[in-house]
Order: sequence, then structure tokens, then C-alpha cells
Amino acid sequence: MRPFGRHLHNQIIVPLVFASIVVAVVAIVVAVSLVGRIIQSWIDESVDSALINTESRLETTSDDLQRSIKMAAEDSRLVAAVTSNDVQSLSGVLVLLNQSLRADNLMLLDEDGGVIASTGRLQLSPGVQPLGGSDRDWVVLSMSHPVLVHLSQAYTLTALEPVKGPEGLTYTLALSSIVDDAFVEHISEGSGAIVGVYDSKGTPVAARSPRSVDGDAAVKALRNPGESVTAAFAGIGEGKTVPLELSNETFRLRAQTIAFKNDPTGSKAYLVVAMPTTVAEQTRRTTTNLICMWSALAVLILLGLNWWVARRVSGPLVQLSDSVGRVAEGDFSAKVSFHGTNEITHLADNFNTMTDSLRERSESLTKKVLELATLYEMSRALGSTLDLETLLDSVLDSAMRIFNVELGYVTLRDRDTGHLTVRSLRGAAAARPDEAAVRTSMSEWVVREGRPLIFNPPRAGEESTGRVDSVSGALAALCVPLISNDGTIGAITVGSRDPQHRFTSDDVRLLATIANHVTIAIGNIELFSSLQDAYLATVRALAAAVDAKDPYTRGHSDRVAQFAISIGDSMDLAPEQRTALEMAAYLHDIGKIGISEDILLKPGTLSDEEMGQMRHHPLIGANILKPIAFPWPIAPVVRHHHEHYDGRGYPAGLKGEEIPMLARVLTVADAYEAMISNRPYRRGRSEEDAILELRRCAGTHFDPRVVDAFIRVLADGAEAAGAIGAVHFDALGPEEANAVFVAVCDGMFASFRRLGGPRLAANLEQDINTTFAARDLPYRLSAGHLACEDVGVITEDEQLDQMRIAMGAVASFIERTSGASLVGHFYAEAVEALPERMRHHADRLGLLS
Amino acid sequence: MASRKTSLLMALVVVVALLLSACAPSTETSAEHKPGEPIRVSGSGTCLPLLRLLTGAYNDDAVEFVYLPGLHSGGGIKGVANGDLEIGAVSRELSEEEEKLGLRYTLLSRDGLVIATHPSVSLEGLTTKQIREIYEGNYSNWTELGGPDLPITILDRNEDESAKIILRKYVLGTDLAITPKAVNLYYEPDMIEGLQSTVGAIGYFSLGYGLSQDVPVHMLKLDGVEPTVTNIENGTYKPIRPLGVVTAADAGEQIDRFLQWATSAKAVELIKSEGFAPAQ
Repeated sequence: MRPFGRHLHNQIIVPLVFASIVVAVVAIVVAVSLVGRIIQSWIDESVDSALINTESRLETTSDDLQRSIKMAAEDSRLVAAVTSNDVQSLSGVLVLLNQSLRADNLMLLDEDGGVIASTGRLQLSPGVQPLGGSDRDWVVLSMSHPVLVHLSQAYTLTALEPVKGPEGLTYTLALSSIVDDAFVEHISEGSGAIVGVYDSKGTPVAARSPRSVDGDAAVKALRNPGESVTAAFAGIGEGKTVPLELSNETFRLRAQTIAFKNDPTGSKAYLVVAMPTTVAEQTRRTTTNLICMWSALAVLILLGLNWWVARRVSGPLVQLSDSVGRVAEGDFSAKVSFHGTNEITHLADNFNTMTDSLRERSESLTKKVLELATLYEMSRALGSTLDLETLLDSVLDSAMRIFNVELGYVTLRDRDTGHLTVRSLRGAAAARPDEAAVRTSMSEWVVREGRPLIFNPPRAGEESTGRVDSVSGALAALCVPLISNDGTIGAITVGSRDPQHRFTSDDVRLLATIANHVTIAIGNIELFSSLQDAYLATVRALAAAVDAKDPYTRGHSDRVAQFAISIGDSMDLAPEQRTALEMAAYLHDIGKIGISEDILLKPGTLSDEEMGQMRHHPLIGANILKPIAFPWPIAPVVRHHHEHYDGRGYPAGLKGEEIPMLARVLTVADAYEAMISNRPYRRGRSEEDAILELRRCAGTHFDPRVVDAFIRVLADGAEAAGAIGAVHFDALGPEEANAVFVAVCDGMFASFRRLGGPRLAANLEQDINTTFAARDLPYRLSAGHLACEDVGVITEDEQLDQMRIAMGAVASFIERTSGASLVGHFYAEAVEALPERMRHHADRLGLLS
Repeated sequence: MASRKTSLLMALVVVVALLLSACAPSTETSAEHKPGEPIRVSGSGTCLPLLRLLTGAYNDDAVEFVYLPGLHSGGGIKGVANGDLEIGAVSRELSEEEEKLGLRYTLLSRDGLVIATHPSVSLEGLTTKQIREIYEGNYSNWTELGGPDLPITILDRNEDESAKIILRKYVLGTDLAITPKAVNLYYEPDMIEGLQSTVGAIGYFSLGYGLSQDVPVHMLKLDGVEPTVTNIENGTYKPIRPLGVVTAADAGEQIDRFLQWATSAKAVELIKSEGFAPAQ
């Protein structure tokens, strides 16, 4: 888990969320303060307009008053009454006039400001001076505008108009509106504000709230002016609006001076207007709430939007990142898939294409590596064996592994017959396909044409051709020829029973490569085989030369070789040492070529000098053999085959382990053969005597271990010989006996072929078949395999006889071509390869007498 | 051309007038009030306060009274006669001509005419003679009558006003020449307003109104008799005027029922309690 801030998703979201919150907060603050200011100015403007409205109504009232008094002053009845100077008439006229003027008070003042007559709410008696004595200067003036003035106890808006009195006097007609609550209500009507009027000293005169406004508290506050009113007065100059905080309401106050033009008294009054802020406050609160709510909503919506966008961007990236990680770890199956047609899906498509391409390349690389590894392994196998069957099996296994198929076989053309034979087969139903199958197989065609052949089964929907390789039974098969310098020598075929399997041209190329290697390897093996044949022929020629020199010891070398091999096998010698031993045994007396025939053929005891010469033959033999570059160390064995274990032998007088091991073995075999064979001058000892002699000389003349091994071999041989007469099938059925016989024969042929090469083996096969036919035996050899023909019912003894005769024929032919010792050897090898039970039966049958 | 146009127009007017008269014939033939329509009331300003009192106390939700502006007693009678009003308030007796209209007159109350001054005049009362001399213009200052030093402002009503008729009948006499210093006021409220607002003023108005509205004026004893309901009832206070209504002879059930109630004992008690004297 990465830290919270490391995720692209969060890196996108967090700043956006932060930004949107900041924006929202700023927007709220700005909007709220703006709304507050707008509301404030709205209230203030309302206050202003209320003030203006009130002032204008006051002005209108004044104008009405002024008009009224002018009208009254010109009234004829008044003029007449004033002229007559009759107080009663005047008073009556005033009453009458005021009936129509409907003013609060109408009076006539004399030049001293005293009341002549008065009617109205001021209830002034004649003689009273309501304006006060000091003000009489302006009383008589004509004024274009009413004035605000204290009359008696009341504060009034009074219009004054001069009236001509009797005797040149000038009276003054005064029409007043008392500035009381009703007056204030009248002038403030429609303004929606609470209005208070204050006189020039700032004393409250009247205050009234319009009927539409519940402003009793404010009215009370205006009537008993507090700090707010004082502040409003102070703010008159700047036109300032001040707040008035009451217990449950807030008002905005504004004061204004009332001063009329042409007012000679210079009197002034104050108007204070109060506007309730309840509605405005409510509006502001509602607006603020709305702004906050919408901002919160906007932030939430933005948050959701951010989240969505971030998911849209980061989700694919995370998926891509994971997939890239998987690809980096080698998982090329990683895929990403997004819907849509934007850059990200384009990226995903490219990524998928890339991984596909990578996977293909990786797979093909892996396949190549496997092919290379297998080829390498195969080439090692090719170099490491000289056995054709092993080689072919190994190659076939590798090829099948490379192509991942379960079927495969190799056919080789017989050089002599030209027939194709299956030499190695894997996975087929039949262990040994018959010739007919081989003749109709793909290999036949491929070998004939010298070209590769692919046979793939039809795809789904296509009509099946029904062609199946006749040897392997494969539904899909690939066959390439094995082409050497001499032409096509065979073919290698791989196949699969899976109808889905397809071979490609790459496969052809690869199998052709393998085929080339195989061809070379087969050539090598053949070369080696013929080399060995050459050696054997040489050795046999040399041995024949020695035998020719000393006719008495004819067959000596063969027999010694046979014994030596027996001992060697008993001592578990390595194959190379065994071959060396065999060769050395054949050639051990070659030095006798250099010994005078007089000495060699001399009957009776040799003189010391003759014996001395005779003792030279190991050295001579070694010298003869020295120039020949045998693959095995033969010369030392020949040189020291007359050494004694106690060091009293010749030519070097070596002692014990100083003597080469093979030489020690050869010494025992040579001595034994010499003991038991007849010579012209003496008859051979019995085997028992010979064994006793060996025993006697063990440790002095012979290596005791070699003697023990030899005696063991001889004992086994005797036991086997003794059992021959008692041979019976017992629980062994004729078929089983036949199987044992066939298996032993096959094994011997295989050994012969291995040693003598295919050409020799083919010749041998031909000869043996001829013999079988001549002797009327129910057997036939074919490609190294013995086949039994059905001969009807015969007795067990007859069968045994037939087998022994056949075996004898086989043995004699093998002996003729490769020496007697090899017959026993081949036989032993064949028996050894059998399973335990069959081996036992083979021993009891005593096939090779 | 012009004469032809004029004759055409005249013909049109005649046709329209005929059509209109055919459409609205009922007002002339029957003045009967239809239930559901409001009852229109107007007439004497003196009598209307009393009617307002009575209609206000009359509880019948089915009946709605509508007061039209004051028309004096004569106007009220004419209104009923024309069918413009259902009830006409009258504060005087009907003249002979008015009797001939065949309307039904119902007396509701007798209202005293009180002579009063501005409260600044401290006299207790005046005699009939003193009042006559004041209105004749023989006094100019209240000191001459033993009052304060204030000029006497004489307030008067028109001759055809019921109050003036009653005052002449009981105090001034029919042929007394009123001084030109006196001012005639058209409406009773103007008289009362003038009395209230003019120092040293004298005038007269409805006792019932004065008592019921508690008007701040100084009511004078007439020849030592105090203007009270009791004194009107016992006949010692003479200047009184009948307050009544005229209705159409066949005014309808609703109006009949109202008038029946207005003259009942219960209504009389109400009338008395408000300063008016009952009819009997």
C-alpha cells in the first residue's frame, strides 16, 4: 500500500477539492459581504427615499398651507371684517374660513403679535402673544413659505400672511398646522418609515410610525432620544445612516435638517427617519443561507465530478501499471481493456499489441532455446555413442521432445537389399511393423524422392482424406530423408495422433537439421565399424601367421583368447580392457615368428640356449606390435605374458602388481590351454589336473586372484556341461523355449553385427539362411531377427534338437568369421541380456554345446 | 345638412329614451324594498347619529344599512319620495307639501336644542332675552353679561335648518333680525367644531349629539333650566325637535320590522341612555 498522497487519484482529487473549497469559501465570503453591503445600501437608500418622501410631503403640506392662507387673506369677508375692525365679525369670519380651510388653527395677529381673533385647536384668547414678544419683527412680513415655530404650547407649521388693517395698520393672518403625531403620520404616509420631528434644540416634538409598520418601539426610542438619535444628528453633514438597536429589532436611522427657504427666522428643525431592517435582515439571512447551501452543493458536485474524473484517469493508469509490472515479471498474458475511444484506450490497445508481440517473440525464443538445447544434447549423444540403435533411439527421443509429439521412427535402407527397415520406433502400437507397412509408409516415399514430406490432418470442416502413416499410425506426421554423400540412407519421421497438431515448414527445417546430424553420426558409426573389422582382420591374419608357423599349436591362440575373455568377464573388466585382452590373447605368441622353426618344432626338451631363444618371443612379439597403433595397449601384455607372479618369469622378471593385469590374466589362460592341449610330444592333461596345477602355482607362477577367477569360470562351465543331459522343458512350454531360443539368437546376431558391422552381419545372415534351408530347419533370419516358421506338431525333444542344430550352425558360422572365442562371448552376452527367468531357461536348455 | 343631422340625432335620442323607460319601469310604480338589497339611509345630520345608534344596535344579519352623505331633512324626504332612499332621517315636522307625498312618518325621539359656548365663557346660563340680544348684536363682549373679557363670536345656522327653526320657535322668535356679525354654518358638526375651537363663541346644536359624544363645550341653562333628558321628558326644557324617519308607505317587511323595533321599549331605553329623549 502506497501512502495516501502517492496515488495519482488522490493527487488529482486533493488539490481540486482544496481549490474548490477555497473558491467556495472565498465566494461565500465575497457574496455574503456583497449581499450585506447591497442590503445595507438598500436599507440606506430606503431610509433616504423615506426621508425625501417625507420632506416632499412636508413641502407639499407647507405649500398647501401657504396657498390656503393666501386664499384666506384675500377673502372679501375677512377683508371687510378687518377693515371694520370688529372683533366679533373677525372672529366669526375666521370660524367660517377655517370651516373650509380645515387647518388646525387660524388667527389674526395685530402689529405687536397679539391675537385679535383666533379659532382652532390652539384656543388662543385675544391679546395673547403666541410668538413671544421678541419675534414680532418678522410677524408682519410677507413670507413665501411657512415656518416651523412654537405657538403658545404647540409646535406648529405656520404660514403667515399680512392683511391690511384699519388706519394703515398691518395685521398678520396666521394659519397653523400643529406638528403633532397625526401631522407626522400624514407627512410620513407611504414612506414605510418611522418618522420623528425635532425642534431646533433637538427636543422631540412628535413621532409616528405609519400604519403599515409595527414600529412602536422605534417611536418610543425617537420620542426619548438616545445615543443613536444623537449619532444620527451628528451624521447629518455626511448623510450618514446609523443603526438603532432595540431589544427585538434593528432600525437604521437618518436625520435631516428641515430649513425652509426665505425663512427670516432662520429656524430649523430636524427630521429623523427610522427604517426597520427586519425584512432586509431576513433577506440577507435567507440569501446568505442560500449562497452557503449552493456553495456546499457546488463543492459536493465538484467533489463527485473530481472523483469521477480522477477515477477515469487513474484507474486505467493503475491497471496499465499493474499490467506493465506483470510483463516485467515475464507474464506476457497481461492485458488491459477499457471502453471508449480516447487516448487511454488507444494506449491500452497499443499495450495489448505490444504484449502480444512480446509473448509471441518470447514463445518463439523459448522454442528456439529448447530446440538448441535439445540439439546440443542430441549432438553430445551423437558423439558419445558408437552404437547405432542407441543413437537412433536417443535422436528420436530428442526429436519427439522438440516437436512435442508422441510418435516417431527411423527407417534405414539396407545397403545390400535396398529394403527399408525400421530401426527405431517410439510410441507405435506394433513393436515391429511388418515390411508391407514400411513399404506403404511416408518414409518409403521420402527415401525414394529424397524430399521431406508433411502430412497434416484436415482442418475442421474439410473432408478427411483418411491418410494415416502406416508405420506409426499418426494423424499428423513429418518425414525428412537422411541424405549422405552416398544418397538417401533412410528417413526420420515424427508424428502425432492429435488431429489438431500441425507441422510447419520451420519444423521441416529443424527436423532436416537433426537428420543431417543423424546422417553424419551414422556415417561415423559405419566408419568405426569398418575400422574395427579391419583391425580384427589384421589380428586374425597375424594369428594365422603364427599358427601357420607352429602347426602343433594350431588353434592355440583362439583357445587362449577364449579362456582369457572368460577370465576377464569373470573379473568384470572394462570393455576396452576386454578387447585389448582378446587382441593380446590372439597375438600373444606372435613373437614366435622370429623363433627358428627348429626350435619351435623340436620335439622333446629344449636346450638352455634354445629355451633362451624361445624366451625371446614375448619381446619379439612386443616389438612386432609396437609400430602398430592399436587403440588398446596390446604390446605390454604380449611382452609380459611370461612373467611370473613371484618375479621369476621373463623377459623383465617383473613381480606381482608390476606385471600388467592383462598380462597376468593372459599368463593363466596361456598356461591352462598349454596344459590341457595335446602336443605331438605329449598328451594333454585333464582339466582337473590342469586346475590342480593352477592352484599349486597360484601365488608363485600365477596371480592368485586370476587363478580363483578362472577356476570359478571353469567350475561354472563344468556345472553347465553337467546339466546338459538333464535338460528338459519342465514348466517350460515349447513356445517359451522357442522364444528363449529366438531371443538368444537375436542377441548373438546383434552382438555380431555390432562387432562385425552390417555388411558382415548381412553375409552371415545369408549363409545361415542357406544352411537352415539345407538342413530343413524351420528358421529364417531377417534383418538380424530370427523368425520361426510353423512346422506343425513336433515333440519337445525334436524341437530341442532342431534348436541345438540351428544354434550349432549359427555358432559355427560365427566362429568361422570371427573366431571361436567370440561365439561363446556372443552367446554369454545374449543370455546376459535376457530377463532372469529366460536366462535360467537358456542355461538349462544348453543350446550351445 | 346640419338641420338634417340634428333631426336624426333627436330621433335617435327619442328611441333610446323609449327603450330605457320600457326597460326600467319599476321605480315609478313601486317603491317596495326587496329583501337582500341594502337599506339606504340619509337625511338630517341631526337625526343621523340617532339612526346610527339604532341601526348599530339592531341585530338582524339579513339587513344591511348603508348611510349616504347628509342631505338635511328635506333632502331625506325627497330621497324617499323618489325611491333613492329607503329611510329618510327627518329632524323637524313635515310641511304640508311634504305631508301630501303620502310617506309614512315614524317619530323615534325628541332631541333637545342646547345653547352652548366655548368653555372659556364661565356663565352658568342665559335667559331667552339675553340670547335674543346676543343674536341681535347688542352685546360685543362677555363682560357685558358678567362673563370674561372676551369678544362674543356668534355662530348661527341657516334659516331653513331645523335647529334654527326650533331656536326661532322657542327662543329667538320668528322675526328677530340676526346681527350681521353672526356667521352661518352649514352643518351641525361645523357648529360644534366652531364652538370648541373659538374662544368666546356661542352657538346651538343637538343635545343628544352633545351628550352622546361628550362634546367639550359649555352647555348653558336656558332661563335657569338645565338641558337634560329628564327636563325634556318632564317638559320643563322647551326647545326640542322631533327626530324621526320617513319611509315609503309600502316599504316592505324588513323596514317595517326595523321601525317596529326602533319604537319598542328596549330601543327607548337605548335612546335615553345616549342623551336623546324618547318619542313619548
